[in-house]
Amino acid sequence: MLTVSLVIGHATTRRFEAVVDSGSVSCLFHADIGKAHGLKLDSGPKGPLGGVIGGASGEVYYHQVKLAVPGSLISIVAGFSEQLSVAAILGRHGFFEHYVITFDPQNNPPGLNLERFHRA
Amino acid sequence: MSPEMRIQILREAKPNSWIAFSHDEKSFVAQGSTYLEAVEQAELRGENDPVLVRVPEEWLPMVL
Repeated sequence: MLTVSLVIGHATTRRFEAVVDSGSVSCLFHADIGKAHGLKLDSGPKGPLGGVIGGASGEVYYHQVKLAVPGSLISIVAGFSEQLSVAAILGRHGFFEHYVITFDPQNNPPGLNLERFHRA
Repeated sequence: MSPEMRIQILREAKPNSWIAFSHDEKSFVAQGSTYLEAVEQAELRGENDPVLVRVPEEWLPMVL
């Protein structure tokens, strides 16, 4: 888990807890967060949302926002969905492509070490 | 706040709701049916920089 926030247009959200998930293609956020900051969900491109459990599916709408991770602000294309059971999922596009991430199980709860890198 | 206490708060919260913790995540501040409601309730209680957590519909082991 990582505490992050978003910049949507000119508005900065409150911080929320996000699941760090290399199994997710994209960064996904609960629609409540976008709607609270004026985002018109269905004005963005729509895509399917599914998981490893067959049959469960949902809809996601993509929007350009900025992801605020402690120490960095990253422009990303983020998916927003009403069906997300968590506040946010940080996936490969938008998050893992910018960080080397080490999972550290030594503490309770287990922590993460993030190292930002910049592509040439 | 201990991890155990945090888990207890989340487990006892209303499904599909949002919990607002204090800025330092050391205490529970507010709850809301939406992100916005939790933020507003937190602000009414004097916390302008809450950390929000979404409570799922069911507490199940997740494969993400």
